[in-house]
Amino acid sequence: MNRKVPHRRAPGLEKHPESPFDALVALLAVVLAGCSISASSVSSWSLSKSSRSSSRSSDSSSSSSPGAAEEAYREDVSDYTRAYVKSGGDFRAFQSDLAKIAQEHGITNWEENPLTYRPSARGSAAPRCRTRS
Amino acid sequence: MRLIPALLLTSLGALPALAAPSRFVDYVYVEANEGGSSGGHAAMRFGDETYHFQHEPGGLLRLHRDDWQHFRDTYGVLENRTMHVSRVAMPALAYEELRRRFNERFLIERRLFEQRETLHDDRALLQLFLARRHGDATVATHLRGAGFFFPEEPNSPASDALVRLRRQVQETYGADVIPRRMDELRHELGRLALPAPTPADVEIPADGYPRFGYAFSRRYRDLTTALAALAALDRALPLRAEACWPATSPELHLAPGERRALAGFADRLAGELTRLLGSDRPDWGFTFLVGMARLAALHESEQTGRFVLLDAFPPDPELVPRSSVRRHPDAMTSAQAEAADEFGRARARLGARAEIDEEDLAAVEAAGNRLLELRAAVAEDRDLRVTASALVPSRDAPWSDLVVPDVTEDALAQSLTRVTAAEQRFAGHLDRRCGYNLVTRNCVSELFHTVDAAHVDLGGRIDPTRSLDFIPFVSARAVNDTWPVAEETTLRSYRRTRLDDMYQRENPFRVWLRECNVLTSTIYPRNADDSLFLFFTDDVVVPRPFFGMANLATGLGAAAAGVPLLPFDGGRTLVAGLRGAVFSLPELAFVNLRKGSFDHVPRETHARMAPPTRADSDIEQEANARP
Repeated sequence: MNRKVPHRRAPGLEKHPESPFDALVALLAVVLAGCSISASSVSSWSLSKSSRSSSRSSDSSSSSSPGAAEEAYREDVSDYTRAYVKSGGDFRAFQSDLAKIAQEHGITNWEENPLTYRPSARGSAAPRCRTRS
Repeated sequence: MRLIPALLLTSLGALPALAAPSRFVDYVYVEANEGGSSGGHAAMRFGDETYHFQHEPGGLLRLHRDDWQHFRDTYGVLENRTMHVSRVAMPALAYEELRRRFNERFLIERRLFEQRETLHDDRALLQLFLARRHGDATVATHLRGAGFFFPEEPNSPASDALVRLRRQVQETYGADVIPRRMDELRHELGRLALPAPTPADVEIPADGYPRFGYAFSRRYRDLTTALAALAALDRALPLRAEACWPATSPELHLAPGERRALAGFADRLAGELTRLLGSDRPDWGFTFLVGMARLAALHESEQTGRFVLLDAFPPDPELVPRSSVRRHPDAMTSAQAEAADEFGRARARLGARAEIDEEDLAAVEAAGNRLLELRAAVAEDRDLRVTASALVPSRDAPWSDLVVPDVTEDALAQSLTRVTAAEQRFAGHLDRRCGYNLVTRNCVSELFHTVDAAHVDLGGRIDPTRSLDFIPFVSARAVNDTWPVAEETTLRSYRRTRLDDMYQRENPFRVWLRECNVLTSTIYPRNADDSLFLFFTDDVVVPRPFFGMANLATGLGAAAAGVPLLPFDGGRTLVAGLRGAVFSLPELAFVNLRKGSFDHVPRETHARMAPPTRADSDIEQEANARP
């Protein structure tokens, strides 16, 4: 069961545009240009990319909390393993995919990396009942 | 096969973490701006990770996962768009189910897009074999990681580090291990079965991870890369000169603690590489090549007392044109300062730990590469390589020593026909699975579909197919009305945050007069990506139509001026003027889309944009205190 938390607006909250007219104009804008074109194609160049990476890999030390990169890797290994086990498939393809995931986190020798075998701090991958009542 | 149970066990651990009573997931609505984002954007945030769907070239929609700070920097700072965050409370189990569903979908889609590349690679490889059979000896493939040692530099002395590694390998596996393994690899390559795609390689399951096999091109490349690695080890090839950064800068001088840490890591790395040769993992060749390159660089660092860093940029990085580098000296200076900070932080990890590991070295490598690349682009007046991905050394090299599988030319041609057909069929399946549709399959609708697929109870279902909820800002209202939102917050755009700051410190009227237009604004420098306009209208309501008229006139005037300029500027002024006119039209009806955007904002400036979201525990405590 979800426990309802009372609605609350933070101080200084701005209201979203929400009149039917606004909706019509936004609809027109969506029709004219669509939404969410890949951000990298919007800006011709972004120096922010030159000093850090966009994912929680080992070279994004600027990002968020300490240990976030390790946790992200462990979550990916955990989520990928569960997904693979559920659907099955070629074991060498599994290893090959795992290698790609590790490289995205800046890890080449995934087989000898203890993080590959360490549980995610959030836990998570345990089988459980679905929460829809 | 023992690997999978071991990894499954890892995912079963740490259940106590789920004992937390509730967690919060953020629904993020990003306001519109001109260009490819005039309809707004939406995302789901789980802690540090942000999931959002983007419209890709080819009319496909794909789930992306970005670090929250990166997402905020891209959309809130560079694209200058205000974000509205609805913080949704849910039980820890439901939160985890939802997070995993998004991550699984991300991994599945990534695999689907990879399969498209794989089928393309299969075809390209078969075409290459046929060309070789027809007598063309010049054809070659590219091998990731081989570029550190190949093409072999003539008359260069053997690498001491690799000579030692070779000895260690021979002591472990026998004196003839290298030629023996190379023969085995060549034999396996010669007997490799040609690709014959089955329905399982082409069809996309409705749900779950796809069961694509270990593709021919992947297998061929893995085996050939292993062959290249053994060839480099056999001859103890030295690193190619251009594979490393020059270690001349004084700040690359190693402190005694760093020197010890690197030497200790080099010893452990040699042991890992020796064991890797006995591993049955199919991709060991690439890891071996990178490991050997690192070993050689570490050895040189130890010898010279200076950091010798491998060039870790990918073979096909994004490039910032030289003209842009030249045009933005301040931005380059500030980016270098940020990169130097990052490099310093990464180096601090070396001295702080008793034993460093691959992640520690990779962090120094990546930060050092970004810093040295920025400096080199300025000093050498050249294009700047950038990448938002993790930097893994992967320098490639052309490889023409190809072992063509021992089959007839007819068999190659038949396989090519089958693979070409499979590639086309898969493209069709991918288009049906991931095709973008303005109304039924956009950045909002897929967020809600993914939530539905997780089967978690959020207090109500949002169905974007039966309402206008597929529009980003309407969807934010639907979330606030339907889900248990504990807090709504606005993260103002970069320009508006700076304005708020100025209003507090200076005369508000003077600030407004100065900052309301692009000519005198001290916050906004003209960005070539933006349309031509005169007044900002995102922070005013009553004067918006009047400003809109001025912007319309500016756009039309620029477009008219752009006509005679066509032969000189390739139509840039004309297009910017016309876009300016188009995006001024909604302003006449009190609606703002355009906000201006930024090429670069120094990190120290936008770091002051403190997120107004409160800690989860504070919101939880306040909710519990209410009757």
